Amino acid sequence: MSIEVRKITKTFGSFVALNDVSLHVASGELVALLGPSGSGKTTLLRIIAGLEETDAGSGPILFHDEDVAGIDVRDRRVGFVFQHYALFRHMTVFENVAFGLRVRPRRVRPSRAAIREKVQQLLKLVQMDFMADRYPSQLSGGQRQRVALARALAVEPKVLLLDEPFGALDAKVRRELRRWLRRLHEEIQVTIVFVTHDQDEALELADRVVVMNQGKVEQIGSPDEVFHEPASEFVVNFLGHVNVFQGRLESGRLHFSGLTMDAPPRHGGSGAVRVFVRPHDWMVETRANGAPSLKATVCQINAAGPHARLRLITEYGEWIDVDMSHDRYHELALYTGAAVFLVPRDIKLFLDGSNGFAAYQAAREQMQRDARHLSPAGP
Amino acid sequence: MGLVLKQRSVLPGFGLTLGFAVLYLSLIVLVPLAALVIKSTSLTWQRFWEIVSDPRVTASYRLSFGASLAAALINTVFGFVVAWVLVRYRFPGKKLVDALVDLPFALPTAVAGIALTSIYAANGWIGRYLEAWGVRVAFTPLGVMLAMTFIGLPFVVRTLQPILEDLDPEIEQAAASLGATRRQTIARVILPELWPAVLTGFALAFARALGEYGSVVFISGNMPMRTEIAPLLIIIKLEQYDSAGAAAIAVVMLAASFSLLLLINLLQRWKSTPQTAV
Amino acid sequence: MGTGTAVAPRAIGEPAVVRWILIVTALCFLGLFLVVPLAAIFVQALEKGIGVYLVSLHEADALAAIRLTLLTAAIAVPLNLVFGVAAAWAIAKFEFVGKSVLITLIDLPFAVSPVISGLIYVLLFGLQGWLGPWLAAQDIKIIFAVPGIVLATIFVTFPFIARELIPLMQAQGTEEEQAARVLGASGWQMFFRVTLPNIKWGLLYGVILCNARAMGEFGAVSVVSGHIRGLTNTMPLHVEILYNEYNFVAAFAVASLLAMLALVTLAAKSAVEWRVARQLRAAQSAGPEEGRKS
Repeated sequence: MSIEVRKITKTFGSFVALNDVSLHVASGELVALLGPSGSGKTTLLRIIAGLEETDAGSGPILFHDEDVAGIDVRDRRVGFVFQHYALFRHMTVFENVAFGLRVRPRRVRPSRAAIREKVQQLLKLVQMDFMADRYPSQLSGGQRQRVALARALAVEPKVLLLDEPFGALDAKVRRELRRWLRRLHEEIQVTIVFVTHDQDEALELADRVVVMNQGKVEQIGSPDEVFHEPASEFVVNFLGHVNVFQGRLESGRLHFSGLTMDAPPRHGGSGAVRVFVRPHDWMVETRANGAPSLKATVCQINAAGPHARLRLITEYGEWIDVDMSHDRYHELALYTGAAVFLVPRDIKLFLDGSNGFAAYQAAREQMQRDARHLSPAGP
Repeated sequence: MGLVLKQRSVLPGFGLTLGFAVLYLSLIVLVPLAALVIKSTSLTWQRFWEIVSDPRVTASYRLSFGASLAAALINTVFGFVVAWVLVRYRFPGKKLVDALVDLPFALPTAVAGIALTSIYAANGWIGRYLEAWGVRVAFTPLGVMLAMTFIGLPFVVRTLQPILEDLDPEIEQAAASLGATRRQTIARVILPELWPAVLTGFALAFARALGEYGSVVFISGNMPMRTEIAPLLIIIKLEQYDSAGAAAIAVVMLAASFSLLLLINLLQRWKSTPQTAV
Repeated sequence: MGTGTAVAPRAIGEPAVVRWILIVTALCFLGLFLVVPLAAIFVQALEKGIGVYLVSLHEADALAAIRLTLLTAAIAVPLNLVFGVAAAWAIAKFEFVGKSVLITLIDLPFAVSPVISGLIYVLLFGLQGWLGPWLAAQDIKIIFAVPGIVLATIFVTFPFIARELIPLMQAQGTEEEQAARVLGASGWQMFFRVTLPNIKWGLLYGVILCNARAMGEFGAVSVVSGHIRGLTNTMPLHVEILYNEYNFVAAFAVASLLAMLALVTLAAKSAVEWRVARQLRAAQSAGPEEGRKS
């Protein structure tokens, strides 16, 4: 079952949650809606489910080319997994999963035995069959999540929609469930759309990623595309930590931070640019080797973790974060105060005034606010 | 976490339930209350003033307000002690005592009235000893105050209890670790946290006592100018077929009650705003 | 409530002497104001022996008063229950303008003296009232008749159930209902299978309080009843009549029934209370226990 929304707008009072958004999801695809809080991703998901209505003047919502905008949520046959699962707290796991079948009108309701069999089969699928008689309050977060999934699948939905499915779980359970969802998708071949604010989750799990910001779609593409060919500064910034420089582009040559090099292909124009280099995209040498490079001094070293992370400062006072393998780190024998030469391996540039930077900053501030909001003990 | 948005809900029944609620509210509460206000406006301002400033009426206001105030103060002091003891200390029968605090809510006021009267009458269980000391309770303003204390008893306890329970013991431990004596901790750390709740409980007890009728009329003796409370005068006016007069007295009482309600709401808001966030 | 609170360690608690003085003060105060009156009711009811006690309760007017009290509660409580659920549903599950005004208005009857609660119906339906002449012409009696008693009782018990349900349902939010809708439940299926089980203890709590007040109301009912023995006398009014006739044993006998009702109410209330608290706590910590994002 394919899903398509065309030119959808949704406002809450004066807040524009979605602004002229269009999206097509092919049948059987697994798509991630990725973006910060307030980007409209959850609203889009709820509109597809029928939990919200679009503003007047919006285009249609098509399931398999059939407009479902006027169809009530209970007749849309979508499976929806809520962010906090919304399990019925007074029902057992079994009753929760059976609910969607038991509320059917009598003539289309399966027999009791059929319901029992179906529920048991689903609980087996989500590996919860041995807990059928527990109440939600007796389950761990990951178990609740799987019950919520089984409950959503019980009505044999044509599409499965998940709102921040792993958002409230700890990192380890989250990784397990991710893999498990991927396998489930391969097994049952249902169209899945899920919302997340976690770029790793989106990149690891989805066939395609829809990056959203401030009610608009910034980019739609495979994980590879959005990561390696970001369409906007926002996308670059949202998909992980990145160093930003002010630079100039002049007839195919790029100048920034004392470095002059050939501009990447497809950047022919001139003017002020912003230059983005990811921490792992630096080649670091302790000696100049003739190639154009950027001089910097090592300020901090953190060698615990999968990479050695370095914080450097250039002669122009710009901070640069660099990640490198431990092997390379030992080979270079770096120490605080060492002088190094940096060559960017891969850079992204965007002309100043092109879309995105203001949006990026707004989103970044929003994320910082969220971060404070979510972890009161955090910095 | 998604932005919490105003739900334009997919849930059904909004029109039906809100419509019914508003209709029922209007029929049962708003229209009859409006009838009262309109009835009192059928009086000229001068006539209205004559009624409510009649010496017998002002005497009843004095008694109602005075006794209510005294009762609310007594309840504030002892209610604080009861709440403190119930939250902080362990003693046998505590659960039972806790449940019993709500008795004045559950016991019909007329029953409370005759019980208190029989105890404090000159030949009653307690009254006979007080009589020996020359103290008369039944059929005096003191009796009115006593009945009002009874019916207002749970308010201070019940508004304070949850606040005391939520009070983080770490705050007190912190105060102690900084060298505060127990008395300083209570005065400077605990009491400031409790003020709004104490005031709310006081206002609730006061408002309840002000309007109380059933438990008071038995013990008061209803002597004109001495032990008549304002609600009783409303009934007397009604029995004399002076419904406008009854309405006039009632409007004054209502105004007082609503002012208290407003005050309580303000206190609740004060309570729910963190005082650090200026 | 109050149980399980650890006694503060000595370093920050009060000295034992102070503690015991406070406990004794509290118990004396409660004993004087609560236990003694309660005991007085039963002692005086049984003063002339159990036989006289039973006879006073078997008397025709007493039985009529009991019947009327039960009837009044049987009408007032269900009506306020339907209202309470409807109002709480609209207020807790939807956003609309004027919501806080509505919440305040629901509490209004608690701020009104019981006597005034009766008075307003007299002013509306009494012979001198707005609708009085018309009602008299139609030969419909409301004041000094059962309908007036029921109306006044509905008024004074109006807020109990709604104010119990509103915070509970607000804390529970709407996600479970939304989930029920997505899974194909109709409006009534959603209400009876998801909403109602979630609020049942709060609802019961409200009903207990509402019922106690409905059966025990005195002031408001007194104004509208007319005190016609055997016809418009509820139990509290009957207590008053007997008391004023110096028939103390009978008065306290009927009063003892009401006192037992109060004790049953308190017991039921305590039994339900912790379940309500649990439901509310469950709602407030509805999220998964892992809680925050890592």
